[in-house]
Amino acid sequence: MNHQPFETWLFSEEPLPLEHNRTLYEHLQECDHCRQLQSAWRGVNQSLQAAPMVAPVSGFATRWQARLNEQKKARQKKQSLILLASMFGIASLLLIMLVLLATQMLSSSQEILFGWIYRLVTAYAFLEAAKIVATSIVPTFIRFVPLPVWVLILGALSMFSVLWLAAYKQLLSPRRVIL
Amino acid sequence: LRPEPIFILKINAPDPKAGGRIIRSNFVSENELEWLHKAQKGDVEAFTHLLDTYEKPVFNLCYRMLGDGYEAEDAAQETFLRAYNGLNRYDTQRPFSSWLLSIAAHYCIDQIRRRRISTVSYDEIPYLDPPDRTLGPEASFVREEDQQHVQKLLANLGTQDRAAVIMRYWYDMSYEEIGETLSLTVSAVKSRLHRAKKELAQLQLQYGYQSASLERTHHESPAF
Repeated sequence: MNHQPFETWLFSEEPLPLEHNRTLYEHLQECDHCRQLQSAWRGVNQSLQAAPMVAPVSGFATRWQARLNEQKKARQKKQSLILLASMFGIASLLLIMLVLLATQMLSSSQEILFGWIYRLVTAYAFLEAAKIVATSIVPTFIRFVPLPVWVLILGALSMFSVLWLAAYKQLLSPRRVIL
Repeated sequence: LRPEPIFILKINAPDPKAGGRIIRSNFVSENELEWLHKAQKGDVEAFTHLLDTYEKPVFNLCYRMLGDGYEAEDAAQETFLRAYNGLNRYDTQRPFSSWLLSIAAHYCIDQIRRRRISTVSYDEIPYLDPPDRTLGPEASFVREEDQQHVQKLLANLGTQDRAAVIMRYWYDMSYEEIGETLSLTVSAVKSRLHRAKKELAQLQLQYGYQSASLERTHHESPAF
């Protein structure tokens, strides 16, 4: 037997039009299935309507705060572990690079030794050339500049040195550091 | 300018006619708005005030969904943790209660799918609500039996259907609100509710359970 649309009407939350209501009533008089379903739904509906809100055991907020603190600690621990792992990873990478470099150096030690000797010799040659230039130009320059100018230059340099020392001391004083 | 009134659940004013259930108000108290703003800035104390207000509806939803007090406690705690951690994503124009219940419902649905909690024996479920001292021992027993029966019926529904029924019956939510909370369309909510009701009625017939309180009302002599 077809129970539509009666089943739909039985569970409808909106009020039925008068005509539908009468048709449903007539159907319920002769249909055991729909009548039983209607009776069962009434029982369920009443149980659902009567069911109260269930409350948690008292102290819910305190337990939640404890859980939040645990979560925060766990998160901090996780972050520390991630940081540690990252640092370890970077250190490992640097170590690997160092090992590779050392291996490369060991395999071509002769070339590196000659390279350094060449650099030292070049630097020595540059210093010697500078020395020659200085010994030939500086005496001429000293003779060219009159004595009062030298006194002025030395005085200015001394004054600048004192100023620099005073400023340096001022910067390192505790009050300045706190600010 | 006053903010637009939004719907929110007010458990501080339970309606005695509705069996101690929450009633709905279309105004958010200024305190709650203040707590929300403070909580969004990381104030745990302010969030605790919100938690005090909403612990019962959230716990009830979890309990009705999962059918176990311990699981419900865990789910409710997790719901509030997720809400606290995600407060910056919360839109204050949306009802806070709906947002919270949405988190709880989705979490419970996930838990049911993951743990297959529906296999829990419902004979062992303790009734967590404190016993009503105004009820006699017989009435308390009948009430507890009814509750176990309700949980047994709910446990047989699909997770989404169960959530829709709970939201409709315990929270008086409209189809639109249920749809928003469960990420469903209004027509899908209507269809699910209709299917769930039919299923519940068929289960009632199958179990042949007759509530003693209901039976009593049937056999009571009419009041003249």
